[in-house]
Amino acid sequence: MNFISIEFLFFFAIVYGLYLILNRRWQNLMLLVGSYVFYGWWDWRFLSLIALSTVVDYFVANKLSETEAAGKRKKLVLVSIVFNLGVLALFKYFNFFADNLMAVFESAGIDLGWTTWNIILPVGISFYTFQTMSYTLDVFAKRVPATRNFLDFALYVAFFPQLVAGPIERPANLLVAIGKDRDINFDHFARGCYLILFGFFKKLVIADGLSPMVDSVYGAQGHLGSGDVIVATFFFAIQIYCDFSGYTDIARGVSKVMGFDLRTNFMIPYFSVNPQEFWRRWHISLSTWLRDYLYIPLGGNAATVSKTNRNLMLTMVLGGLWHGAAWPFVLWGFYQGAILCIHRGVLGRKKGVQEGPPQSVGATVSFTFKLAFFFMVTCYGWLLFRAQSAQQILDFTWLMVSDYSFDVNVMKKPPLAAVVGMFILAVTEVGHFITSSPKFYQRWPLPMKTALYTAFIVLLLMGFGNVPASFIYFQF
Amino acid sequence: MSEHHQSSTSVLEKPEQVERKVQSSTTLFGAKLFSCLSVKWKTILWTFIGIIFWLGVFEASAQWFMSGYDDQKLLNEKVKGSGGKVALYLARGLSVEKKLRIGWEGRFNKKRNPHRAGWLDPRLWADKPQDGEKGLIAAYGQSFTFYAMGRLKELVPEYETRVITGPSAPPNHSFAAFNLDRNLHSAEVCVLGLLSGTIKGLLGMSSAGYYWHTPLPFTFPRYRVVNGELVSEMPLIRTQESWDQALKDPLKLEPFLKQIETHDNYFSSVGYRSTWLDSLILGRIVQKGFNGRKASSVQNKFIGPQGFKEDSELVVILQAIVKEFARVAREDGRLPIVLLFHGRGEADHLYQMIYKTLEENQIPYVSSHGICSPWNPDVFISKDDGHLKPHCNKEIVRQMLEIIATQSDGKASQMAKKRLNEWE
Repeated sequence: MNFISIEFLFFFAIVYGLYLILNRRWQNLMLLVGSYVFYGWWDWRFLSLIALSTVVDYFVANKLSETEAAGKRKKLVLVSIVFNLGVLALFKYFNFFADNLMAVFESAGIDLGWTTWNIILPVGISFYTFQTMSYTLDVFAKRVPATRNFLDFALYVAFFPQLVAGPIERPANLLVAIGKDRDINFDHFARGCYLILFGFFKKLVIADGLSPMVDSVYGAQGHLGSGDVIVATFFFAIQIYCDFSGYTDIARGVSKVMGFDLRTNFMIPYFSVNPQEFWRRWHISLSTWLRDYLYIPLGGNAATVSKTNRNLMLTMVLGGLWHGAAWPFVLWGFYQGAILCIHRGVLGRKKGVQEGPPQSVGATVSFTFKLAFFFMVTCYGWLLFRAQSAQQILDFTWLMVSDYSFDVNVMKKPPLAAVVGMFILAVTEVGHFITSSPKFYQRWPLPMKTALYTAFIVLLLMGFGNVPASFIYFQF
Repeated sequence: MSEHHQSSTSVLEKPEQVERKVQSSTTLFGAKLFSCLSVKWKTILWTFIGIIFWLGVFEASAQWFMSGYDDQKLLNEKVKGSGGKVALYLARGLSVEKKLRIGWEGRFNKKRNPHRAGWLDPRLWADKPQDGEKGLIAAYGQSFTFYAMGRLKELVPEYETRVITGPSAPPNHSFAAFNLDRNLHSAEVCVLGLLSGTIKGLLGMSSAGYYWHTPLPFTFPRYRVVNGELVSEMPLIRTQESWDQALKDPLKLEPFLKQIETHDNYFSSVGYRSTWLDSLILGRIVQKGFNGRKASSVQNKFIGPQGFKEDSELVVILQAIVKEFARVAREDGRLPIVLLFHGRGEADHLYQMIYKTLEENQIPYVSSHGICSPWNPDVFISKDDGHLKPHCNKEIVRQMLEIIATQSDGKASQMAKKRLNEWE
């Protein structure tokens, strides 16, 4: 089920109505049933995968808590890792590796005689696999105790607001919240409503408004001007941010009105001036997951410079591959790893970069320059991410460095709602940046606050006619 | 004593004093009620009032802004300036029915009136050539077909051309025109022109549903494939006169709107019929959203980034229409030719969707995608005019003449051979 659908409206009305009248035990049961309905709406067959993953990790974690023998514990956690990564490998990466292996052998003149299977990618598989893995890994590391309540754990794996596109939760946050009575207070409710409204605004007005422009360029077969590529990539940077953070906002808002506090996933990422800062602000739940369960276990930055760079590259390439089984994602991961290494090399180990709004005129000018420069660096990364093939990456890059006419041949103008929406979004992002608080608007006087809400509502009405597009991150 | 004194004082009070007292007690009641509310409820109430207030401010300022513009002029004439563009944006939020009325009434006496174009009324074709000394070629389609046939007439003036088109007409319009025109001429060759961007009209009965922003009233049948047979639902309004009468008589308009509601997939429950929403600017924005969303949700069912979806209803209907067109033309002893036009940036999806049907049924065709790439902006007249340039049409005509020269054996064939020889 998609958040942007009439079905979800009815679904949530029923779920929330029941939620308000039930006690915690029954709330959890109802949420679990609701979550399975929510997921099964796409393809009920893949519910078995979630259920299997839940059962395996539940038993592994419980066995882990029963033993102190290091060897046995390692074997148990390996069972969980192999199972989860195995499912992911089969459904997400099998065809990719098989195709590439066949291509390598074919180029050497050897026909393996294989045929690849037509495997359907289950929605959100990367998200819930990482979430269940974080549970067994945390129990293994004794960061959290294993839960004895199977129902609570099943809900932790399948909690519908964040099941298909995150934020990737940790047991210390979501599982603990599931096990406690939730407090639905007015502040939660008001903030939740704002997040839902803001999320819909970002998705329906901006992301869906810009999507046809981006698609027209990245789906074109020639005759593009460099202006097409530059503007489409710039729009894609905005589109993917609004699409993904819009989903997160709706997920967090829906959870908040039920008394759950999901993790923050985005913190005005385009206000970053270097890659390190960017990854502290963009898809935070994934970047911290990769940091905690991959980068640090690999050695992190504790060893030599070359080992740190190796760890960074490995983490980012695997992070790229997490997004999808395609070479552009691998290249994107490689690019992110490379800029992180370069930045580390330039900066060394000094920690003199101050985050937050600059305090003087000179600092503001310098900050603006850095911001614009790093935004362009980020946008090139998005070109790698959005490209349909490695050939397209080469073509687009060549076009940008060789064609100075900046002609826009293919792309049409964005809709009025998206243009005004981007302006309003910029205002809210600047507000967030200056006050260092996502709740900056709460300090505004009521007339200003209601003017902002009204702007969202009017723009939502205007953007309602945009061609509806699926959330980009559903495919991951 | 005291009570008596009080009541006598009340009696002596002036009416305005009494009124003020009543008012103050009402205010007091309101204030009391308000004070009973908790801070949370007060916040919710004030937020709600604030949003209503700002929506009111938006509506009032937009109404004031629009008072400087006339909807009829906005919709019927070219708009200049950014203010005009915003006004046009809001004017396009009017319901489809309202825009059709404005379009019809505003241009009623004008010579070039697109609202008079495209009607499937054989009386309007009476002055078109019925025979040709050196060959008559009949063509059905839209402006792309019109321009290609114009180029044919330029290059082979000896031919007579009988061209029946509608503005951005879909294949169901062209096929219906072909059928209605079948016995009214003696053409040797019949051309069916298909344009990638108007294929969507197969699921409608009038372009007003999918071109909701600039609707035109002409109608066409809605075809369906039932048990492998092509069946049609004919529109209740088929002529300019009946449209004119329907606009004046709700009793005649209502059955037609009901038919559209039932058979036109693009009919939007909010935004097609004229309602009170037309008088509000916010209402127009709502209608614009609903019409746009309806059109795109219908289109998403048959087309995606990879092209047309093979098992969609639209594809099945188009394949059936093309086969039936060829069968009927051949039955009448005519050579059928299908022209496939690809609009700017629309890839070769139309060709990919239909070429197998054409080849399996040995239907001769010419596709523009191999002649002038839909991705190349230089093959289209301008950014505002997306028609193909004359050199593209010339090549389309040349390939058409080759088909006529080789697959027809009448007067037209001889002429085609002669002209092709001259060009060589």
